Amino acid sequence: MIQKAFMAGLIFGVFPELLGMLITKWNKNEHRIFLNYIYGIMIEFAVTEVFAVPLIILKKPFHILSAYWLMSCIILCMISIILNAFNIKDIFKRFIESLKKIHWTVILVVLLVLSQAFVLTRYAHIDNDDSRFVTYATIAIQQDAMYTKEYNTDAIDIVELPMRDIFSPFPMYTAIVAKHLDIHPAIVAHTIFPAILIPIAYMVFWQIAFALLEKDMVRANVFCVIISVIYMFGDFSDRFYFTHLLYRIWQGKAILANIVIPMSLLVYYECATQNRIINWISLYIMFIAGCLTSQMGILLLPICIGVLTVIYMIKYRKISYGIKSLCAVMPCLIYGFMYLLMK
Amino acid sequence: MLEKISKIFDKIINIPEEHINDGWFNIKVYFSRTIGNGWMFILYLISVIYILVKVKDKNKKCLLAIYPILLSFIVFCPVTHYLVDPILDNTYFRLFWLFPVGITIAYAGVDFIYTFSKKYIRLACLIGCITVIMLCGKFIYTEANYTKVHNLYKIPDEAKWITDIISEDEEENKYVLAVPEVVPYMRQVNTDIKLVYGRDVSEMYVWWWPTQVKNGNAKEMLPACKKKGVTYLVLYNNVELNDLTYKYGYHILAQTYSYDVYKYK
Repeated sequence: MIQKAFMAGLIFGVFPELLGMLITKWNKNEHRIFLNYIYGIMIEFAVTEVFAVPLIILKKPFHILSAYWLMSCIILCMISIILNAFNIKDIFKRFIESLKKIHWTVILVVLLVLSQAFVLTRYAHIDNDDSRFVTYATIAIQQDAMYTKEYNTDAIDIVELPMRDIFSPFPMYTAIVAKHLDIHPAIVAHTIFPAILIPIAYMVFWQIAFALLEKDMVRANVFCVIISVIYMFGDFSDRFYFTHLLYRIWQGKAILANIVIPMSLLVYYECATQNRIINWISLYIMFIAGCLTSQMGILLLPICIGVLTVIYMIKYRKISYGIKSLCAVMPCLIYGFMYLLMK
Repeated sequence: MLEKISKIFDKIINIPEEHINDGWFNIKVYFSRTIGNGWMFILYLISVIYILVKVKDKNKKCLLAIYPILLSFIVFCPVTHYLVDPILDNTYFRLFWLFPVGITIAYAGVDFIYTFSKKYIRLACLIGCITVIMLCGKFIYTEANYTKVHNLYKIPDEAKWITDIISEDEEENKYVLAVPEVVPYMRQVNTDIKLVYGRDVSEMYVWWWPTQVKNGNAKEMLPACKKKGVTYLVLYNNVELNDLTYKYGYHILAQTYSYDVYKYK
């Protein structure tokens, strides 16, 4: 139990904060604790994607991916500690000071977010799509195989890798977390991920609001109150992404629609308005993370950023935005091209 | 490889005319299914117009208003549908996920609220915005969407019990014919269990196996199971079988509220 709690603290607490500092050190944002966390989780996703795709294509066992992932995260965290040694104390000091003057809207937002996370952690939303996603994660843990076993029945031997899934192996991230926490992947997906990912989605919304609303914390809180009501009343269609946040957040496509795409919009907005190298690098990392979450990410993210690039290229009259966007979107183009060739 | 690349270019350049008409129709169908009652999208449209008219900051206008307008030209284009729908496997509606509906409505709401300087007016506007959103949407926390289960795996309790019964049995070859209600969940818990048919078939009762299970047609089902080497059966306990299971070597192992579990001995 203590070991599980320690590993949970490491994977969902220490790693994201330290990994995120690799980016936020240079983009000079205030209120970095949330931003660190979001970037950190995106870096965890990106590391998974970078190692998982070649290892899956080479039909290597899962424990190799798990070991590489942990090693990479530890190395990156050590680099972050070296680079940010003097800043870590300041970040937490600033956060604790902001807690001293809590506005009533903060309490409202926290209550809304925690209650949404609690409902999905406590109750079950039964979804048959998990028979694919969660089963792949369980196969990785129980049979040490990545997409080389048929998920549906396992009654037939797999001849070809499932092209649809290997370039967006989010279940492998679920399996990595399950392995290091020593908890069954179905429990990680259905019970632990809602408690972590729903608050992350609201951290993203808060950061977007903070950036767009003149860095006013109270307005950002009001924004989060309104958006949480929108999501709670978003059951008008099961085909729209509102429902995916509140009852299927453990699936890659839900993370893509509710975390990666909104965060990509924010990061691109910062790329366009600040135009620092670190902004474009963080966009690049976002796209690798987006490729992990879903096959749709490989297609949707370039469309999203393509439209934004055209708009801001015209606004700022800078062709360099197009070149930088093209570089940032390279992961999607490479994985997409590989998918079309191998299909 | 060159052949594949030329096929991709050929598909992009030569678009058959009938695909344009079909594309319009399909996009309309996808869109109408995605927007549900449509009120939230009307609210979104109002928010986009508000931002276009009221917000002075051009960067924010570009992100929240110009972006969805330009995106609409791509998403509602039949050529996009023709190119993208085969890749998305008939889930073209997911392109509508690129519209930042929630963010735009919330931003417009906050901007509207803060046009007033008095706190009590702002509070009244906030309550008004929330009320409008509640009226336009549909509450998500219903029994249809959330079920109380008594296991951390968050699968139906009976599916978990049956998986545990079969997992804890000493038989090494766990080849199971199960009812369609339990099939999607067993391998999420234990991948040593192999299934005669999977989730994709279980959702289509016209396929042979689920039909036999549903109708209790033991006379045809059980010889086929024996031939395939099926070691466990999970059948409805309220559907009468038209033959005795022990004649084929299947003996009752356990029972739950709705199902009987048999083992081949």
